[in-house]
Formats: sequence, structure tokens, C-alpha cells
Amino acid sequence: MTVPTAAHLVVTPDEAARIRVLSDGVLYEDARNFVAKHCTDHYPKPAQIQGLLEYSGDWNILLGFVKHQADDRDQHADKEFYQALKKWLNEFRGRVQNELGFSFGEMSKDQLNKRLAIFCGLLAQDFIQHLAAELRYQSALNKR
Amino acid sequence: MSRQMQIVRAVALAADGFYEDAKNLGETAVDCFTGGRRSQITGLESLANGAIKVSDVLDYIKKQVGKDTDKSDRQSWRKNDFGKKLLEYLEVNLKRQLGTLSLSPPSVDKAEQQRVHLMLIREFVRQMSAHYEYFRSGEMKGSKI
Repeated sequence: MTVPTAAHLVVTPDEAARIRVLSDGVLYEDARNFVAKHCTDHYPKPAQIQGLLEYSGDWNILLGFVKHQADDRDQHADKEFYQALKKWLNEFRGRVQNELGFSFGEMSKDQLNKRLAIFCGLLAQDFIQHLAAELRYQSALNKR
Repeated sequence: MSRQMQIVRAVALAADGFYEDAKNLGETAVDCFTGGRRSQITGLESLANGAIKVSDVLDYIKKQVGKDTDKSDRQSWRKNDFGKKLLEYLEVNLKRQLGTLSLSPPSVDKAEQQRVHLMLIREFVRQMSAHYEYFRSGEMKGSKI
């Protein structure tokens, strides 16, 4: 019996290297710009940052958490932050598919979604780590 | 000469150029990390040596700055703007040096540039840590080497 290959679920060494380069370049800058643009009046509390880090390991779980916080019917201090983050994450999926240099080739829609979730997850995890570090740093420098 | 040997040589030459900067920050660090806080510098050195991305080091410094207390007498990373100065040096100055390294052909590959930037960071942190230990010993604090 042959085992079906799951090439669409594999991250090659070249792709892993590309993710590291994107993390240091595009994502690091994105995180800095995000904080500069969306956290001018208020920084999320450390518990919120910790929550983001904990959920950042899985793309779909991260999306669910951010959407929940952004769409929460109750007003809370970090709602605008989460709404901006939700928008960033939603746009990011398109960037991964079309702009960041990954190859998706011929595959079914299901395979494409799974492959995108892998890349988005790995990249978003790094973005959230940069975002958390930048938030802590700026928050310390600009205590309000 | 192989590409790898060229890079090692170019990084070593660049390291000679930032000796004074590493010395100055190492001396600043003595005032910031006294007593039991020496582990902050050894921890940074270990992290830099094990990092696979430049941002691993930069994020670490940001987090350490963020952890600092507001009480000025208990600050370490924020004292004398040490964390901010170190962050800017590793990120901006060393990145700028990438373009001046004597490599033929010049580095255009992003992954190679990332690897060389990380090598420069490791070398700078190693030098700074050595100066920190030296000044910390108190024997030559404030005197010229």
C-alpha cells in the first residue's frame, strides 16, 4: 500500500530560510509600524500580550482569539487594538498567498487552505512575538 | 578563498572597527548591571550565540527593557538608556556595516546578509561582555586600556 504524499504540508529548508528572512525584515517592521500607528494612546495590558503569545502558535486559534476580542459586544480598553489586528491578520493571508514569494502551484482548494494555514501560522507567530516585544518596549519608554 | 572564509575574515575586520563602541557600552553596562544582575549580560551573550534570527536578539532586548521597573534606583536596562543604545547599535549601526564589508562579490542574498548581521551582533555582544567583565572587576575602571 502506498502512503499518500502530503507535500503541501511540508515546509522545505528553503521555505524555512525564507520565513526567517521575512521575520527579520517585513514582519519586524510591520510590528513596529503597527504599534506606532495603533497604540498611540494606549498599550494593551501585559496579560493581553501574554494571551496573544499563547494563542499565536496556531493560525486558526489565533484568528479566533483576535476575532473574539475584536467583536466582543462589551466595550473594553483594547478593542480598537484587536480590531486593527484582526484587519492586519485578514489581509496577511492574501499577502502570504500573493506577495511574499511562496509557491503554491497546482493543488486543491483544501490543500491550498492547509498550506496557507501552515505558512500564515509560522509567520504570524513571529509577527506576534515582534509585536509583543515592541509593545513592552514602547510601553516602558513611554509610560503613561 | 571560500565565501565562508571571506565572511569570517570580513566580520573579524569589522569587529576591530567597533572595539571602542563595544568598550563604551560595556562600561555603561557596569553601572546598569551590578551585583546579581551580571546574569543579564551573560544571558544576552548566550541568547545571541543561539539565535537564528537577528530579531531574536532585538526582541529579547526590548522585552528586558520592558520588564524594567519604573523606580530609577532599581533600573538596569533602562538606566542611562543602555537598552535603547544597544538596540539601536545592533539594529542600525551593524546593519549599515553589512554594506561596507569587503566581500567579493558583495552580499546580495537576504539569507546571507541575515547570517552575517547575526555574526556581527554575536561579535559585538561578545566584545561588550568582555569589557563589562573587565570594568566590573574594578581593577581598571575609568582608566584607559
